[in-house]
Amino acid sequence: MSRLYDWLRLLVAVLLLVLAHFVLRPLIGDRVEIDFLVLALLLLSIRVRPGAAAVCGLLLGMAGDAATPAGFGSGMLALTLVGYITSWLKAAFFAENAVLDGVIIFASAWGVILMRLLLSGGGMQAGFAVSALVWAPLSAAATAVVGAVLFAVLRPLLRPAAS
Amino acid sequence: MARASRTGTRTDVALLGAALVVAGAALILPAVARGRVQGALQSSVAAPLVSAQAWASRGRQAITDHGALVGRVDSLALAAQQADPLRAENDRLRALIGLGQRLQSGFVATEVAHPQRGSDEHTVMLAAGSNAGIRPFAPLIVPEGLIGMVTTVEPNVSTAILWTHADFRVSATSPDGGAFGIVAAHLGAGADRFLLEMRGVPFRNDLKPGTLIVSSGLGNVYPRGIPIGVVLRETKTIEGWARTYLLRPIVAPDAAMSAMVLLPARSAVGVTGAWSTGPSSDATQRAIVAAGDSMLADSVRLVQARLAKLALLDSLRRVAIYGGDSGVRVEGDSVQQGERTPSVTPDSAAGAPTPRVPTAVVPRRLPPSGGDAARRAPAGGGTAARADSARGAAPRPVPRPVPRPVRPPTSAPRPPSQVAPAAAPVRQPPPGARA
Repeated sequence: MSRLYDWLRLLVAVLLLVLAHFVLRPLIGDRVEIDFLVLALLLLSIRVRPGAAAVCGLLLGMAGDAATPAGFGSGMLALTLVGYITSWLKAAFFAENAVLDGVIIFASAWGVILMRLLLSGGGMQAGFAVSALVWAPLSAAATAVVGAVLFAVLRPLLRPAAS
Repeated sequence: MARASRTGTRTDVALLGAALVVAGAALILPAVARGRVQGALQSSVAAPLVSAQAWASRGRQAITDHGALVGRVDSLALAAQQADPLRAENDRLRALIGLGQRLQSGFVATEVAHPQRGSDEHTVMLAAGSNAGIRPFAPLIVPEGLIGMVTTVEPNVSTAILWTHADFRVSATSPDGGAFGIVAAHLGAGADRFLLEMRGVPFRNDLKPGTLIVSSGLGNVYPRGIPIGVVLRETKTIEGWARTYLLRPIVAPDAAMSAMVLLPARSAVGVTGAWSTGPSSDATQRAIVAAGDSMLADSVRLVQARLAKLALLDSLRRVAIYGGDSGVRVEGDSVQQGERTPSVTPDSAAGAPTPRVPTAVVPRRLPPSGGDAARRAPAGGGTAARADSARGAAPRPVPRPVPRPVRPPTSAPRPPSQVAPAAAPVRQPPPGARA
């Protein structure tokens, strides 16, 4: 029962983050965007195995790509890889170290943005360097800050109950 | 345990591979197929998310555009505030164009520059001067009626006084010509300062409130028929010999930003039809008055002939008494007598005690004031020669008519007030002269 309750809490948190991605993100930023899907995926990936995390990444990427005009599939691929990798690195998460959490989130978010840029044909565009080296790190940093704060707040709530 | 871990690893790799295949397939799909898949997702599973994102995008757009929208609203509000004055100015300019079409010629359209607060509010500058043909004492008119008079003229600018000026005067009458008077600024306190008063209206003339007052045409400054004001009520004055009426001006003094200056030629011709002061009935009245004027003119011509005959007899008598040494003078007298126009006669008949003037200084052309004074002088007085004038202006070099005592004709002539109108056609004022 407590296990189901844990999963339910996690599911609610993930759904809230997904909803925030589609509702808050357009309201908050223009060039610097907070990727709540990456945060939701990282939140999931610490609870599941890498294969399941990859599938979750695929689904979250599909949701993100559905609402993105260009680069359909790039988000799926990027989040699949990020989910799998971060699930492998789950020991790093909830390590009682907010800086480490932030670094992992920053790297994940930047990687996702770079892969989206590259796979959606943004590499051919003139502003790719600026997007990849200026706006993408800024967006990743913003995501990392928000994620670190969010994980610190949610850690007591999402801690699995002792069996 | 190790076996379970290996199984889990294989499953993870298999799931990762499957996910990568799906993602890769989505990436390499043709654009059309990719669009269909994306559309299917947007309309099914991701529909709430897409809707939420669209709603959020609209919200952000609204937030972003709020400042610009507020600016646009402010601009539109400002434009709306300016729209009414612009519309009013447009209407006024249209009316001015209409007045110009009715006048057809003999006017100069000009801009009116009102003075700043604190300075003389009753004097305006006009953006046209003598180069445009404007002369002093020219009427300043707007579509509604008379607003002022030009006082000084320079090559490119002019100065005019408005009807609110204390020196402004205009000879006025009701449209039917039943009552004459002099209209001037009321000079009252407060809001009454911007009223007009019509002075010197004979007691026998009672003007009803609402009666339109127009320029009478007497004095050769303002042509007849320019609307001036509307009768409000009669007011008490210390003068006991005439009525004074308060008028509501037909033109607000600060309303005119553009106006027209009537040129002297146009003033002489008149402005008949430019203002419809009383549509058909007024035209009928004018026709009746014109007919009456012609009858009066005939009568005056008869009186004139009789006077000339009497003067000739007088001269012959003097020749008979004094002999031939005064023949030249007598001849000149006789000629002078013969050239006298009837407008002089009423003035003399009115009893104005003026000294005898030598024949040599008598102008052969009669001044306009003679006829005007005769026309409007009270029957028994000859006290006030009402004519258009600007008090305080330069003294007018108006020569007096020859004050010769004329023997009255055997048949009783008409009273001066009846004789005078016939003199109007023969009045030819010198350029720039006022009554």
